[in-house]
Amino acid sequence: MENIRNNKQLKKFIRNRRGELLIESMASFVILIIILAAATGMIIAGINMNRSADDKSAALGKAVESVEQFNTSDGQAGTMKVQFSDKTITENIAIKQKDNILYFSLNK
Amino acid sequence: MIRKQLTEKSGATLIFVIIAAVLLLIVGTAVLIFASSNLVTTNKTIQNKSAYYVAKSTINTVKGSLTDDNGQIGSYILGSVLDDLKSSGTGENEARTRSDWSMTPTISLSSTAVGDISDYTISNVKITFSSTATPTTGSGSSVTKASVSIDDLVIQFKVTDGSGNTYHLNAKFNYAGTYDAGNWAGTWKTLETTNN
Repeated sequence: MENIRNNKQLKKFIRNRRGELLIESMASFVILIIILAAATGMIIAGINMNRSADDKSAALGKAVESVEQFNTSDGQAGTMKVQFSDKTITENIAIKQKDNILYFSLNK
Repeated sequence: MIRKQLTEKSGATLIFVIIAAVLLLIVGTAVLIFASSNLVTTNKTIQNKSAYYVAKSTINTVKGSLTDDNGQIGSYILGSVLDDLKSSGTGENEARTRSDWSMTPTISLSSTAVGDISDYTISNVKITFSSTATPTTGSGSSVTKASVSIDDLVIQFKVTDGSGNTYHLNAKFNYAGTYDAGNWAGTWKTLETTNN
């Protein structure tokens, strides 16, 4: 008798739909917040990467411009050695380095 | 029963939210992929530029040493052609033509002031050309005057930077001139410089 009563109470509890909308809304809200945070993080990371790429491109442009206007008197001293089977030729060079770009030319 | 299930609105919010979330994640991922590929491309461009500028510098320096008056590489190559002419025993006004010239020198860069230059290696250096030399005075080892032309002198090499990025360069030159008792009078022409 007790079992039947408990069973009926359980069925009643399961069929009871009060508060369902509230729980659904809360779950949706939580999911939305988590996803929004993740998407925002991704977009911010993307923007930062793009900015970093732009900065690097700008620095490269400046470095290229700087070495293109290279004057041997501005350069540091170095040598280029060309070794043939029976002779070694050593040429003096002037080297200029700007960021990752390294440029040199014959120092007469 | 089916109609009831179809008109049932409970759970619709959750489904809409999940669809919106998936769309947001797709947009976020797309932005991230685009930005990271942009960054990778920029980094590759920078690295390729560094190898390119060392290759460009190398060819300009070699070109100077080859084509300038009394340039060391030019003098060495012309001297090799003259030595070959003398040792061949070619008679006066007879042309000696050779098209199998091939040299594989090594090129190295060094500087105490700019240590980074040693990060670059220049390899696979090859110089090939054909020559025509005609003694105009004397013959064999006693040639004192000669006309010399060098055709399609190709210098090729590969530059590798510290990160393994490479840049191949080819340059082609021609020479026409004369030799007169130890002095050379002629001009080198740069035909083309290409990346391969």
